[in-house]
Amino acid sequence: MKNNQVQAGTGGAAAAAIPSVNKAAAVREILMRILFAVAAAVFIVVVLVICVYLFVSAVPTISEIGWIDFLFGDRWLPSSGYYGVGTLVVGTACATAGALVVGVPIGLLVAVFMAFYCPKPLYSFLKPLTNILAGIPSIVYGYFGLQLIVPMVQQMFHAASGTTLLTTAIVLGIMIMPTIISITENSLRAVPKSYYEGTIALGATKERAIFRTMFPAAKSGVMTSIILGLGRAFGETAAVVFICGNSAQFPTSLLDPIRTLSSNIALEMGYARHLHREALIACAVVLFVFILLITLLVMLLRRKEK
Amino acid sequence: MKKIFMAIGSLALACGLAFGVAACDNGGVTEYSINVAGGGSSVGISQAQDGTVELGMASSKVEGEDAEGIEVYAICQDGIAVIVHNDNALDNLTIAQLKDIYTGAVTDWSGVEGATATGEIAVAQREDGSGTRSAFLELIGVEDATTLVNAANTSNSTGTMMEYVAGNPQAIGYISLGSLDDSVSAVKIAGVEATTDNVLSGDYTLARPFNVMYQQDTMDSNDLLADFFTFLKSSQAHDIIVEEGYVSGLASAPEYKVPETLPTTGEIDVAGSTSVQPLMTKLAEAYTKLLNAALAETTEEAE
Repeated sequence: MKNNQVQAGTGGAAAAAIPSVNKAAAVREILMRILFAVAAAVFIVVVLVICVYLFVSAVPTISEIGWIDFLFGDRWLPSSGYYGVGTLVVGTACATAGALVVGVPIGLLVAVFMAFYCPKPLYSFLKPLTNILAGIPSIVYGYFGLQLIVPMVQQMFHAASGTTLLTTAIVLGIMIMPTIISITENSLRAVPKSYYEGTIALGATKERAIFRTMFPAAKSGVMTSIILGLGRAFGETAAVVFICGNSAQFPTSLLDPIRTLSSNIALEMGYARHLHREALIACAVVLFVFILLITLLVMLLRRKEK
Repeated sequence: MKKIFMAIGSLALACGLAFGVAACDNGGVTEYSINVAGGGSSVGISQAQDGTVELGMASSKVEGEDAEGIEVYAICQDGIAVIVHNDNALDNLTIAQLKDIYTGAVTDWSGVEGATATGEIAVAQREDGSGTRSAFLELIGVEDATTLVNAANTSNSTGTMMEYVAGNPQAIGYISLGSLDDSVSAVKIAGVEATTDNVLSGDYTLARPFNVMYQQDTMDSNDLLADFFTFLKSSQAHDIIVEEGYVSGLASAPEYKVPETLPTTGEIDVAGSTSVQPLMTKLAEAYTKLLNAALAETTEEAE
């Protein structure tokens, strides 16, 4: 803040000293400052409006339904007057956990391969590949899951239906891989090379050096990648609504269908009216609160890093 | 030579300026509108009876006491086809069997006679709020939705439902009859095939009529209502009904033409079943669009 004022002061003084030349520049500088301030203000207003809108519209709804009935109710049947999101929260949590189980080990190992083992020609192929994977629209993942993974899971496990928690976990796991791969790889590369050389010099094998020295050194980056992947899996809608089965129930096995908060909103928004519609917005708020918590976690990790 | 002037403001004034124009006969109506509201079938019946609205809507049969003092006309039928995978040779189901399957009393295909599918039944349903879902539950007699199978696969469109059933040999689902194609197999209900003809004849029981109710006095005195009825029985209405996935008996109906003398009533109110409401809104929009276009023409053109 203080620094800023000093800079502004010197700028002003310079403009006063040579008025004819710098007047236009000074005006331009002020205009640009206003432009930046407006851009920042617009951004802040957008975020605030979304927050305020969601909470203002959701709080009366949840109060009307009843906080306990809404948050912990195990039945979601709006036409019959049941508005419990308990099964949806559990479904979302299970799907996210499953996605992490599938995506994190593979993602981390691919990142290690890309950072330490990958031959140059292969790297120049693999790197764009992860970017492509990150850029595929989620609805395409959903369609791919429905056409390929759903029948596969059904045949493999002789299940009644292939739209299960397992299917959702596999597809979401694939979707979060690129995030985990690229952030982990970057943070592994950001660790000073001397750490690695020092460990090797002490007689460690390459694997030992990577997993015992490099990984701990890149810990916060790795954690950030996992949490960002978690955030993506948590809020994913378009893909999940195709493949999770959308059954509002507590899953008792990996082969049970589930319904997530986001798929619930996408599923029922079309025909929802009155309290039903408002309850769906309240679902969005529950989702939003979880995402806020995840973002906070990332911020805390970043702070710790500094 | 044709002289054209724009009428801005009061139509009555425009009539005064343009002598002998057809629009002058319509009692000064400047815009035709049909207001379609919900409320439920029972509201539709009672409001048609007491004359609160010109037209009531109901998605069930209107008989006995309900039909007292009002005329009932079925715009179309909402037929529902029960579908299974093409490899499943299941030919026939009764309404009671359907209820058993959807409430979980029967969970395995071995408990369903005639089915060649094996293993657990993968029950597929539509999402809460869907008209097809509420019609299906009503027709198979499930009053309490909490008794439905919890693990039922839920889709929010006919397309997704059909794709799911087409891809799962153990699945059973339901769609509106109008959307049926050969990617899935429709099951007979109580021995009756799911066809348009059987729905219209009333033999196919997994169907409900979309009724409208009115008082004969109102129909005689309200020329907009009478003209709207001409539209409801036209080929244009048939196209809209079929497009929305319902069963229409108007396949050979004549085309609706805006009458020479435009109606003198400007507005009618419609209320009732929320299942009929979306279709009625579409029909009313198409009708008022035609009428208002004709009205604009007559006011803009004068010789």
